[in-house]
Amino acid sequence: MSCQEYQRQIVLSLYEELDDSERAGLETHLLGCTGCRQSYEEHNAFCNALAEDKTAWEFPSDLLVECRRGLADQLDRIETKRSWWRMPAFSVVFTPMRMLESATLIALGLAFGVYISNHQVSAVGPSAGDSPAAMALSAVPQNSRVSNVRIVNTGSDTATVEFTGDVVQPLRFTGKLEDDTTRRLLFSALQDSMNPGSRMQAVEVLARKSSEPSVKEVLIHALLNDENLNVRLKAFDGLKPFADDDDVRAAFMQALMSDPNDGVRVAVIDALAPFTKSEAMANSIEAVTRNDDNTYVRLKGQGLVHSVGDQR
Amino acid sequence: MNLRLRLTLLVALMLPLNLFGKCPITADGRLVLRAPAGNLIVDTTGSDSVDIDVSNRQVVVHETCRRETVEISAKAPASIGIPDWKIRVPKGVTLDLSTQGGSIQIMETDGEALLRTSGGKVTAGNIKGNTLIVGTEIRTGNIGGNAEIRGYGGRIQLGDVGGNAEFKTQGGDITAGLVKGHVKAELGSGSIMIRESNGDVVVTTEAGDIKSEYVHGSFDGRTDSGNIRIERAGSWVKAVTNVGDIFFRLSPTNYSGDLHITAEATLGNITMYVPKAMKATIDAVIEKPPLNGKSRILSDFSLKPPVNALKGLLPGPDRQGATVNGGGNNIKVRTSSGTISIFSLE
Repeated sequence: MSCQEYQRQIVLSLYEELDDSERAGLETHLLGCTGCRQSYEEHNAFCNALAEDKTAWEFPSDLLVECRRGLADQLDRIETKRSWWRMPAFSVVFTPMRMLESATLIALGLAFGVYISNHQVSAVGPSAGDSPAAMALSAVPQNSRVSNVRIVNTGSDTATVEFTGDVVQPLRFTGKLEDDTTRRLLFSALQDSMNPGSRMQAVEVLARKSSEPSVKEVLIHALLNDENLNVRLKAFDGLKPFADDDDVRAAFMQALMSDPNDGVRVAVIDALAPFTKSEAMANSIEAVTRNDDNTYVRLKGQGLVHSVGDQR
Repeated sequence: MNLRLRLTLLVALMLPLNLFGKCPITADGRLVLRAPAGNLIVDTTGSDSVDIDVSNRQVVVHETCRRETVEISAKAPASIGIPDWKIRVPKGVTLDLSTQGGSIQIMETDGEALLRTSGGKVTAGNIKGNTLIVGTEIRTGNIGGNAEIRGYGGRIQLGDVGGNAEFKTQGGDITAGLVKGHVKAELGSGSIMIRESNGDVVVTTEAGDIKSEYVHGSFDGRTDSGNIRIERAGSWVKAVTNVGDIFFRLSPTNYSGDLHITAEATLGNITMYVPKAMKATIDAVIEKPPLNGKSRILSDFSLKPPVNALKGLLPGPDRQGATVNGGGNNIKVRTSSGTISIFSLE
């Protein structure tokens, strides 16, 4: 046997899991091998320390999880190493009685398994006798998943663990655009900074009701603040029919002044042009666009001043 | 100066369209126009000359007239705004037009079209030849040759394209009809809908949907946020979205070609139909399955977890696979959270 195998036996010996012959073999090896003897002493000291005063110790909350995972891995490894002919049922001489016994045991096991699985499926909601853990898990919808799980507290008895996390559940909802819930969902989609595609869709849908003050306000906000160009363009499309409205015109002026995209500024100045009737308005557009990088925007602004002047 | 001459001069000064140019040109000649600023309005009903009217007399036009090529440039003070240029040419003339600011509007043409504006809409009827358009909002009829479209930001709408189509935009939705060649599109943001493509399709957008009724060639589409939906795909498919759903039907005409599939949706559902007779090796993974342990991988094919999968000891991905008709084309489907549906097509 190699030293590696003897070192595995050291752990088992400390938990009195070796039979007499293995123990004798290990003891003989330890007498002649300094490395293994040192390893034995380290393990022995560790076990003694564990036995002294467990209550004063604080274990990391994920240690138990790690240990279980390690154990599961080890069990899997043993399982795959074990050949079928060495399994207990086949390790003795085949006799008709042994076969009958085995078949009976398998049948009983199957029946028990079916009973247990049926019992679990039927237990949908928590009952009065459920443990707190079962109660907590039942609070998580069955078709959901949990993300951002963090362990915030582990009880001193190591039997309870407190989690926080986010439950994410699929949602499918159909509602009229006038309904509050529909509106709230659309507004919420518009605020999803991580999902510009969803914001684009929300703006497109809301634009159908852009005459309503609350929708108009949301679209103006999207036009002026959304970082995604297509969201801004779609918000503009929704607001364009109301370019003579004071709030919308003010928003367009703001966009003309600050939007980084040529396409938006070109579209905005084109939308403002038909409603620029007064000299003051034309002058303010000209002032905003005087230094624009885009030639079209700049010239269009100047042109508005002239066309208003000509009309007078 | 007699009275008639005085009256003629007076009328000429009062007319809004003050400049008039006329150059003879062959039916398949070339017009090169470089306008400082102006809305270019092109009428293609001319017979044998290029006729130009500019709405502002302060624009000074310089013409170089040759039978095959007419070149026009101009100077104008910035204060005049954006004048209208009315241009009439024969239908077969190649139009090479650019304006530093203003819209471009052309009627149907049998020649090639190169239309560029630094800001303004471009509207065109059917164009028989190759086409290059640069503008904000762009709308054309059918294009007979290759189409290269570049947008600063704004909607782009094309009819059918006889050759390849290439799009590059900062933002704005794109729609096109039947593209007989390949499609390549790069969108800063915005959705793209190509009704049908006879060639391969390569599309990327930062946000927006990608849709097509039929891609005869291969499809390689990626969106950071949006759905991908291909009603029919004739060759291999690579579809990737960060947030959004993926749907496609693979219906190849040639089963011996490359028919591999890669479909990835970080947050979204993936649904695909693949031919029953196709050789395939399926590997489907849901990285974060729901808590109830019920698999969200649905399939007509008998998918099974791999032999070495951990059996319920630890929460982990839901992974299933199958070898269909002896295996072959790799079908790799992955979502972090969502459902995977793989159905068979007769």
